[in-house]
Amino acid sequence: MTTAQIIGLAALALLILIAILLYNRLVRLRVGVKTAWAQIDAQLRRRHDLVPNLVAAVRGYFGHESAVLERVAAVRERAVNAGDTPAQRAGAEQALGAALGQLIARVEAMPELKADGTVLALQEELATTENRIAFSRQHYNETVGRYNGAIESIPDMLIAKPCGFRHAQFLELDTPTTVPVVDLERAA
Amino acid sequence: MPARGFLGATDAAAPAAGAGRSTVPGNLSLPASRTRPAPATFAEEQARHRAHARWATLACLLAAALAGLFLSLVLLLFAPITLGVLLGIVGRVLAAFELHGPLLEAGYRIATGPERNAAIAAAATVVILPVLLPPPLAWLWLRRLMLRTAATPWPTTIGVRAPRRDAEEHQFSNLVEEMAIAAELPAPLVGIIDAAEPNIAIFGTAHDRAGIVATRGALDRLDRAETQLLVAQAIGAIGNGDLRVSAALLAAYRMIALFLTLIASPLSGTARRSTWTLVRAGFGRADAAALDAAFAHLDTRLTGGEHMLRLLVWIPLMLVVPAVAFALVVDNFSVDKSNPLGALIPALLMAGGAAVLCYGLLRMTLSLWAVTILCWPLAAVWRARRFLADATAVRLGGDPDALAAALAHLERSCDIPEKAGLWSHQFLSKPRQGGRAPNILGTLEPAMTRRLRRLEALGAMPRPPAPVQDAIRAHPVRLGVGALLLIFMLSNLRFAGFAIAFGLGALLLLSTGAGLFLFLTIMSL
Repeated sequence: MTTAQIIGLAALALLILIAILLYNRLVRLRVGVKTAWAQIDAQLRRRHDLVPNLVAAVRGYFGHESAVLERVAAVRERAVNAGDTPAQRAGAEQALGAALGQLIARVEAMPELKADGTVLALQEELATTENRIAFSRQHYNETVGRYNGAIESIPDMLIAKPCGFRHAQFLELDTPTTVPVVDLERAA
Repeated sequence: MPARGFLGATDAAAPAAGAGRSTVPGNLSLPASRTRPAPATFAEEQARHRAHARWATLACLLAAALAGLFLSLVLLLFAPITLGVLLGIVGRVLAAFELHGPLLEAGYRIATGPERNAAIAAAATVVILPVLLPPPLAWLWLRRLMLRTAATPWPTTIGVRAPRRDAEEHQFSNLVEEMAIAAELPAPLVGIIDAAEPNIAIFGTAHDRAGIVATRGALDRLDRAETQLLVAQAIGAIGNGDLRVSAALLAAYRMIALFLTLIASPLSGTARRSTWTLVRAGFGRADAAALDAAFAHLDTRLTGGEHMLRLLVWIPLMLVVPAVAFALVVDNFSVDKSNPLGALIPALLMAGGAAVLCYGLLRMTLSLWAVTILCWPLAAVWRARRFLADATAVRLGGDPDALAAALAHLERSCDIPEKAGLWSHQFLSKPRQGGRAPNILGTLEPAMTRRLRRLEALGAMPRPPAPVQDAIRAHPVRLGVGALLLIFMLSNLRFAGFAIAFGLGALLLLSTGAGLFLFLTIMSL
């Protein structure tokens, strides 16, 4: 073999090695996005599971206003059946968050409810779940940002398209323009 | 929900999810001339304090290098003395049995014969290998000992229990989980100490094997927002790698304490037991409780007042015993060249005197070194890291005002739980004055004024540190004379520097003098 052939083979081997490294990096980032989504999904489902408990605990105190609780349950059903992708979930989860906020405000206004131990424990669980959702969402969006940035930058772009790496979607839970207004006073 | 603490009686009860305060607490007044610090973002603060911590680490390395140099020098002088005495004794014994003649002849034959190179190589291997091999093995063993993996990250001597199904403790576990998610770390193990003073500590050797411990007082007296920021500070410290820093700090001190315990083993039963437990632990064969008890014994060698007192007893011993030995030898033993064995007794007396001298010197030097030279750079590193943890807490938790309130509250009525010992630096807060014997690690807590000022730069409300009004629980003060000397030296660095220089000079002089003296005496016997 001539020198040129050897150099050509070495260059080819180097290119293949670089391609492998870049591909592995993209896979790592994509797995990171999936893990972050699983984490925030777990926290959102935790919130879904808390709602029936809260509704059951305050039902006795609400009496004639039990229609409010029915609407909260309806919003929760919509969130549970919303689907799996961030875009589908965002609207429903925002609605659920808003509805829960209004419900908690009503609960705080009732002095007899504040003395109930179960309700207090559920409020604490809800508060911690909201915080966890906030932090997980931050983490998820950061991971998605890194992944999308990697897909769009020059060396990785050449690998991403042929190998099927798609953009990931951000999860936006607090853009006020897209939240459907849920008013617990009137019928849905 | 817990009742709010003593600070800020004018504040309304804070809402659950950590909103900031909007009024300066009414019962604290600020001087009119006080200027606000320049505002900073938490990223700037983090970068700044990281740089400070790096400089402090460099100072640490320098102090460690100096200490190593000095100790090597002492050992360099100590080794020839011992070797000379041993060789002298061996030579005398051989001469007594008429063996030195044939041995010398055999040696001469090998040195001038054909097997010379092989003999030199064999001698070199026999002499050098036993010297080269132990240090890396010892390092591996020590490393395993210091980075021990136990079932819980915290030592068993402190009295930590698992959280019960209690509203407060459940809330604390929730807060730890939240902050772990915020910091993108695995959630540390949660533990509770049943003590009335509010305090939080982190334990462990790595961020994925960490533990966070709070006292019952912290859970009862601080509200959710303040506890959240304190937890953020602790988890921020874990994320920044402070566990490794504290493990290195403790390892440095425990190394010296280990030497001290080894040296004291001939004289003290507990020292022997501790050494044996530690040796077994290095090979992985000691149970956690015994190991923690051994470490606790090590820690008392550096912090207990009685040990310092006993060290001072060695000074008259070091002066009297060699002098007596020398006097005995010079007056009573005439040198009789015809009976070589007769010179053994004076040689042994001289050796005994020299051994007492070197033993005492080594023990005193190690203790003084630990206290005066290694103390302050390690404390400086830890202090810089506290500021970094504050800035990280604001980044994670988002409310600098809550952190300032929590720290001010902590400073008012804080204390370290009884059995913390040398682990006390890992607790968040420690009283700057009080009835305890002083900790050998010096001032590990940055001044609260400076911390509050940095938090003010990050956006907290201006707030002076509350004066320490509560009577800090008076502990029985176990200050011996030695510990008083220690306090005096620590509080007066110039005196400490002078004492070090004097001690160094005296030590070198004594070692050289003792070595020369012994050499000449044995040669002349």
